[in-house]
Amino acid sequence: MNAKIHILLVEDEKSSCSYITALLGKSGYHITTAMSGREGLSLAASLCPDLILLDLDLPDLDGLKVLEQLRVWSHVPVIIVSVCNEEQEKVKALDLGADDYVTKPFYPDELRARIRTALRHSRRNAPSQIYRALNLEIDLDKRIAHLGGQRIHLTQIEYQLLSLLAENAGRVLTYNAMLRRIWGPYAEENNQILRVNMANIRRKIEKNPAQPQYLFTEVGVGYRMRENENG
Amino acid sequence: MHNKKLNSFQHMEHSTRTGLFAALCTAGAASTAGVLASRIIRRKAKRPLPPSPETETEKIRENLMRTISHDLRTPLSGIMGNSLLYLESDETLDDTERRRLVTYIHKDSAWLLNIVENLLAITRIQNSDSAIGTREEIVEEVLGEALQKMDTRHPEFKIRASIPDEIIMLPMDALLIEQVIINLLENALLHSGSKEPVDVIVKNGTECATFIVRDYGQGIPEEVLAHLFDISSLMEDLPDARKKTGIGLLICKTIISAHHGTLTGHNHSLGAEFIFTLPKRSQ
Repeated sequence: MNAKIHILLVEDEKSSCSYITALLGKSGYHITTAMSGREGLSLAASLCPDLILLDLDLPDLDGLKVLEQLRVWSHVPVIIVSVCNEEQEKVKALDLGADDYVTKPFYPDELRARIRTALRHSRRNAPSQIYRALNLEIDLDKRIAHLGGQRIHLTQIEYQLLSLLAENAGRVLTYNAMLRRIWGPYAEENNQILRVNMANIRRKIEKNPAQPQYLFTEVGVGYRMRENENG
Repeated sequence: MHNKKLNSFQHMEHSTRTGLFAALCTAGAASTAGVLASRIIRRKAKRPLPPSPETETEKIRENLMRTISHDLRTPLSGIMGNSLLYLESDETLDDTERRRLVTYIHKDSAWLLNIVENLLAITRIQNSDSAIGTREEIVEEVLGEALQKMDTRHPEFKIRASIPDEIIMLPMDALLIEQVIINLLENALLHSGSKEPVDVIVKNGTECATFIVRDYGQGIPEEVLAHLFDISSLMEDLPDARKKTGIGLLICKTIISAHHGTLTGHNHSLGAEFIFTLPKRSQ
């Protein structure tokens, strides 16, 4: 068995390709590059990579179209790597099934961390039943959360939100995705109720809600919970 | 080797040459190009601009766009010059020197990114004040994201944040307010010589919320304090650091004005502080 994890990079800009290839090569990944959207789609089918890094600005197809077509038949983790920093663009990509979104220019650690998280989530058959990071521990089976050994008292909705984030620790969840999962498919578009609940959870688990250690905000996009240290 | 360099000199356009020159005398790299850039700005800015209150924000915006576009040349010429020098150097430079060139390239790129982010911020402010898209945002989320970005960019700096217990929601363009917080924090951390962690304090009021960025450094000289948000002061031959600070502050002012808030700068007994307010109801 080839031990190296295979990443397909769909990117037409040579200097970005060179940077990402060198960066990931150094981290022990095997990289194949596709210079266009169509080439990316065909290589995704023939090579079955473990993960795809997708630029949105491609010469032939819109990156979002590539993502849409890919998602028809594949669950391979996709991380968008784009210069666009607009919230709507991120939300669109995530709601279309991207696993994460990294804005260029990025720090090497940022991309490496997102890749690790996406790979971890895609490889796991059953989600880990215990979330543990720093002083926070959540038993997803027993539905109990502890902070520094002290039981945290959460409302039903607060617990559901926290466990949803914990199950997806490390990845960003959009407001829409969270609203639909917790309040059902007919949830209101208005995300105010979600955000107030998140602010309340923050007050229960963060020492300083303005400098959070567990629950991070991607303003205009959604929330991301700190990586699970328990695999 | 020398001949080769001279040849390439002749083939390069003016700005690139400035860059290579700056790279050759590394110590004064940025400032040399900066003086040149500011001269260009001054020449262009000679036309008088009659003030008209209705379009004040728009005026500032136009001026800023022009000043910043010229300012892009300073880090750009550093990057071009240093990288060209690296590529042409062969065996003439030792590892330490090569490393120094790349460090300059990295620093200039970070500066460039900062300018571009500010430029993007201004383009989000449309032609009139009412055109910024505001949404109700939770203050700690916006502040939290700004602090996280600061931590990624400047992990060596410590910042203390304090917010009230209650949840504060304000209508704002979150990305723009983040940019304001980042600009004020970067100024405080990079230029004030603060001896203690910089404080960000949010206070809740009935009409508006107040944000304070407080440093414990040398304070702001009186003559600078008088022209803190004055675009014309930026047209002067200023040292780069002052110009960078000035542009950042003007962008903050423009953004806060577009939100119908206020931004002021003062000295306190142990340093300087910048205070901005954001109204609770959209106007």
